[in-house]
Amino acid sequence: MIRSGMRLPIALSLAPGVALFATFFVVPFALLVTSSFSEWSGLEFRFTGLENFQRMLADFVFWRAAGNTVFYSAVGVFVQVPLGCLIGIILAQKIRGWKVFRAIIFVPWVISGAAFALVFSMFYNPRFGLLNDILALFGFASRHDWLFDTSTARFAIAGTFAFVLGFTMIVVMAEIASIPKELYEAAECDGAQGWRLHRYITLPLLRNAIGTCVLIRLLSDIGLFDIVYILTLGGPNDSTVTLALYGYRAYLSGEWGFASAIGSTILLIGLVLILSVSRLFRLGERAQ
Amino acid sequence: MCSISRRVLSGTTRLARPAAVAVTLAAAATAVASEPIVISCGACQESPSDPFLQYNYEATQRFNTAHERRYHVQVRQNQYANSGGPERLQYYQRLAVADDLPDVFLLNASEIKELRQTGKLRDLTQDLATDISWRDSFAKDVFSALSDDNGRIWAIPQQRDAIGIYYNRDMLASAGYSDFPETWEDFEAAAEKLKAAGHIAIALDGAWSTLLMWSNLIGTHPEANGFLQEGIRYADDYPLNPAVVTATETLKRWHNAGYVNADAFSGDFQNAAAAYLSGEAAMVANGPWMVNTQLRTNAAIEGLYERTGYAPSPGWEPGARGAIVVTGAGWSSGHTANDETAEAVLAFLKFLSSPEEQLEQARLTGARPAVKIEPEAIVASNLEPLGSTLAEQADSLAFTYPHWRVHAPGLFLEAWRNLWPAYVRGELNSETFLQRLANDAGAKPRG
Amino acid sequence: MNLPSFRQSLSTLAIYSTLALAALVALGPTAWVMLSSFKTARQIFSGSGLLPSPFTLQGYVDAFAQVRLHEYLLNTLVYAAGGTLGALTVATLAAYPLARYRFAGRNTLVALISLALALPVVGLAVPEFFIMRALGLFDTKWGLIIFYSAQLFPLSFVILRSFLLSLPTDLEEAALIDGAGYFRIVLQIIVPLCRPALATAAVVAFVIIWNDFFFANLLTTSQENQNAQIALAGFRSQFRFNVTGALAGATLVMLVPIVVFLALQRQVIAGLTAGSTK
Repeated sequence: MIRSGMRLPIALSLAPGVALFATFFVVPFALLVTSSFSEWSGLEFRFTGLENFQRMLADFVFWRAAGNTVFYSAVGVFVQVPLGCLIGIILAQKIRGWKVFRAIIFVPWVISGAAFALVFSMFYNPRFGLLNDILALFGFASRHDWLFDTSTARFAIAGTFAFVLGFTMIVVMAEIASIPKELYEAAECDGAQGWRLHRYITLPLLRNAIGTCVLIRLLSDIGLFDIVYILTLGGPNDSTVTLALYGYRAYLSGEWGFASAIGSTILLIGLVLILSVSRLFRLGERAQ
Repeated sequence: MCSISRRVLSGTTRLARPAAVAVTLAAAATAVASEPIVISCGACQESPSDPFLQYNYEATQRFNTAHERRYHVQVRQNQYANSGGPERLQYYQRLAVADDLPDVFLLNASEIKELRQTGKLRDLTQDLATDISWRDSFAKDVFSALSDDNGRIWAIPQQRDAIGIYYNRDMLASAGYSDFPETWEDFEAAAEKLKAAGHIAIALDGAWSTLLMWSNLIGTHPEANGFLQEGIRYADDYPLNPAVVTATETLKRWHNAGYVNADAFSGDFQNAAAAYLSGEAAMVANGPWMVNTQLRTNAAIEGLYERTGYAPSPGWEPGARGAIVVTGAGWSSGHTANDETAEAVLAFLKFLSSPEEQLEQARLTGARPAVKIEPEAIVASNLEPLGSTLAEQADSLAFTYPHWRVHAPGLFLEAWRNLWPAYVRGELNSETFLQRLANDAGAKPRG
Repeated sequence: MNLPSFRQSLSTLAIYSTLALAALVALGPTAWVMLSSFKTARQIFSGSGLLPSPFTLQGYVDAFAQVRLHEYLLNTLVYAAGGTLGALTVATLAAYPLARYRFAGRNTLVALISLALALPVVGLAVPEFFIMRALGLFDTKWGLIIFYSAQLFPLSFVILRSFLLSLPTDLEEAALIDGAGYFRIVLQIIVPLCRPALATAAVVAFVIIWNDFFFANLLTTSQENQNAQIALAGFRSQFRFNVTGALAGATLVMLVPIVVFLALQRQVIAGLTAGSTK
């Protein structure tokens, strides 16, 4: 409980944080929800009920965007996170050179989406890009246009982030470092070795860490924007479009209410995912 | 993208000298020589990489020096000054909402259409009507893209360009063509030979350059019915217009026949240009500014400029060639009141459309003047011959037409980039493609 | 041959091959582009040769002379430093009472702020734009600094508060008994104690703001206020055909967070793992 003399300083101390938070999170959130049910162009504002959502659900591009967003999230969860775990488990053994590998593999995580987009627009280019040159070395010579062929475009986009393993890697490494050594020693006494050791000791104990990585990955994939916007604008034939880009298009054409409805949908999906992932991985509870 | 804007940025003006003098005198009489009237310009920043902006910047300096006491144009930095695309329109729309448009800035035709709805753009009709000699100083048709259906004028033309096709004379000669093909049939035969010889026949980018060829195919078609001038605004016209369907399918065929570069969908004009500049591709469509900005720089292989020709578009019938002739953009003003600021705005616009300034702009950028200029003055100013020749030739061709951008709805380019690769690969039929293109671009139903 | 040791070296080989592959995939394309920034445009577009030949620094010269990259870099630095400082200051002031004192609404407030961490913020784009404009902060440097401070506030708050919760309270209690005022305790005891947590939060916030494209694109319009990421996205148009300049610029923009990370690896890693697993 607070001594009365402390009330004022505590209030003063909380004020800036509360003010910033209210202005840039609470109010925008309220605005977003309200305008989702309206027609709003910046000039005029008119309530239209569920019209925006009806229109959105009837638009096949929305379903394509939702489908792609699910696809990108799946790549994050089922490719990136497992690979990151694998690397993390390997490096946690502190094998020779682990610091160098950790640094190299982590670096892409600090590179911006805009820079990555430029890198991959060169890398995938069918005339002078590196990818086709590499494939030619293995006997697959072609001039395939990875980004602008509907059959490969979304894979090409996913390829830009599927191998950014750094985050999962270090979270896993940190979690392993906190596992008491005695656990392993006991298991070794019982005859467990090598990968079996990890299968039965490490992985179960990583539940919390993996759940966190899945969650963070999902959150950033739901909002995927930079790379797609800069590389393909969502094309060809909307095969790479994401929900965030779909919303941005609505914003560009001046339909702010519609854009807000899409924004609300993104937040709603985010919320559902957080809850279900937390449930699934029982996040917050420590491993037994 | 920038290259796109380039053609779009077009220019303005012309000074009717006597009127300007009168205005100046009148102003001088009333103003008690004091602070100059300051106006802002949203497209006048210095730019070492963009000759158009650089010209605007230098012109601003000259204007400020010449009117030291009376007027001062202040440069307002603007990231989108030289970009096309919806960002620039969005930017100006935001400024319009905030009542903060620059006093002078450049807009392309489709941006004007959107922006005049905000009511924050200056209607220049009256300003031109009160200064007949100014109005009469402009070349033919330059206002058409800058006016609305009621004939009100929203911008002062920046330039008037003839846009053709660059071709590598040696490569075409080796395929048996000493002159550029006259008909599309010939064009395809030449492309076939070039392809057989291992060359890229025509470099495309899936955006600007591809759409120039699309415009040429449509514009030279006898049944185009003014699609590029008007129909492109209306959703119903896309799949119903025979010229549009034929043009679209022809262009698709070139891809499937292997006449184009492997990266023909990237959306970066840079990639199409690189194919031509490196001597791999025999042809590329672009405006006259390309001579100064690329052909004569070290981005091109040695001697390419000397080997380059610049031709109008082939036609569907012998002797029926055409060319894109555009004033795609002009100088608009966000100052609607009639006060002394307006007086400064008009003085600046008239300055920019004086024959001297228009020639200077032509010299620096390769863009052609939007005002009538004596032939002797053109000769004397030593303009670059490739562009000048095409511009002269254009007036005697069977067809002249604007390119897609001038009248297309706001999101046309984005819609095209999204759908075109899928269409070429056979995932959409022509009708679906054209219908979706129209809808996604924001074309309205007729009537 | 000794079988166990053969199997062991086989598994060592497998492990190092996996690592090498991961490293190659992670950095290969980026390294190739960085290398290409020393090539001529002609070599880049012809796709010939992995190594620059001839070697040229023209791209770097152009990046500064033509695109004035230094101005964008300076803006980005101002935003990253200002936003980080703002977020940390506000977060420290909020984390301390919310970690140490009990009062009505405390838990709700903590839960709300933590929940914001889990918000895909791009969903809020339109209202954020509207609010920035309403406050007169749209397209101003101060506006963006304040905006980033707010954006990074929840993350910094969570890192700092969880660190504070793990600290004993003896020092503060001793100071209270000595009659020290609230803000003196914050300044002279809490801030020094929190230095490790502050460092981690700072590095992470800095990198995130440095790399932001979405909001910089949404909330600024004039060139003088734009950051390096926007310049990057616009490079191809800005430079027109100067591809070497674009690649040189991209290399420089990427190098800053890479250097920050390499120099402060420990803090970054501690920060990320603290912010996520706690």
